[in-house]
Amino acid sequence: MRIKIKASRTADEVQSSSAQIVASIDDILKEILLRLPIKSLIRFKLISKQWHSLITDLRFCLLRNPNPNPVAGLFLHCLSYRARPWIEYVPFSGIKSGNPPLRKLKLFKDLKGIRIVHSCNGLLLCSSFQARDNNRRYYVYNPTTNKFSILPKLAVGGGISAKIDGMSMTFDPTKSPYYKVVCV
Amino acid sequence: MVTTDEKGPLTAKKKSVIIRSCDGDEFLVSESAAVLSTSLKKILEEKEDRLIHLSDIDNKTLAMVIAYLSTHADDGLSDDLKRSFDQEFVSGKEFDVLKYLVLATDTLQVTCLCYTVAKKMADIMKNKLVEWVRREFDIQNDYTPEAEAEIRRLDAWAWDDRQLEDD
Repeated sequence: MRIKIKASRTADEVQSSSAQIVASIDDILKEILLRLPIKSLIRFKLISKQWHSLITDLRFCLLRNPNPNPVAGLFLHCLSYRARPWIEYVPFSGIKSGNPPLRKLKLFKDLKGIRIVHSCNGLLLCSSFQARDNNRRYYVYNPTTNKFSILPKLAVGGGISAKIDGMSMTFDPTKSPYYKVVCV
Repeated sequence: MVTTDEKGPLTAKKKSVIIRSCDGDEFLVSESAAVLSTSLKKILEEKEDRLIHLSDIDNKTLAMVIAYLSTHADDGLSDDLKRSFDQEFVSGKEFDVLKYLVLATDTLQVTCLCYTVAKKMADIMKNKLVEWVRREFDIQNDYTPEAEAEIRRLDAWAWDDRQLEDD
């Protein structure tokens, strides 16, 4: 007696190209996508809407990166009267890395220099180093992608003071792809 | 001189099963290799029959999967040897062959082979153009040009000067 494995696919589908079948089974596709580097994954969002939703699916992101941001080290912001502020990286692994992830925040063309105000799960909130409140610019910087965005200036007036007591950022990539900045 | 099976008592004689591909070729496989496939294991637990017909795996693909299963069922091979076999197994294989293989691992539920093949496919795909991937997977671009431009704009950093391949 013969035994047949019951397959969910019909004979007609078997005849059709393996390509379409592979692409139509999300589970197989996920196994392949999980093994791609992040840059390729991001480009492949453009392949189709199906791929886009697979890649940006929160469960997929957690599978790919179960512990998104284990703290690997600290950035120390060093100040000196003689030199511009610089950054020292202190890795937690105890091994002095020959190539720290970040040495200077020279990306910005801010003449006064930059200081780190706050950091949260891989993003840095930075501001102009020396400037009065109303001239101070705030940036959100992603050292991984080396991209930054300038935060819009506060709309002053109508009972809102230009004086800023503090700025903080919140960002949790496992919850939302967006960050929020709170200004007091 | 009497030789004995070092791997087990003589009473545990080796059972085997016959697996037939969709195009009619038959393969004799030891049961210890067959049960590494979760699907085959289930079938063998339910029925006593020794002939299993696979309606959606062709002979070439089946031969490769069986070679893999037999190697991994061999207790005489160290894990290191099995790992290097895995590397050798997928190296140089065409993307088309890998597609059939990954489908077969899905049908037969051979998880470790699925991971190995998926990794190889990802390695081939990682530096390819979007158009290449669409062709290989027979996918229609269902974005409008505007939507496509917007997606590129949002993740511009991933579209750097890296040389992407189209063949």
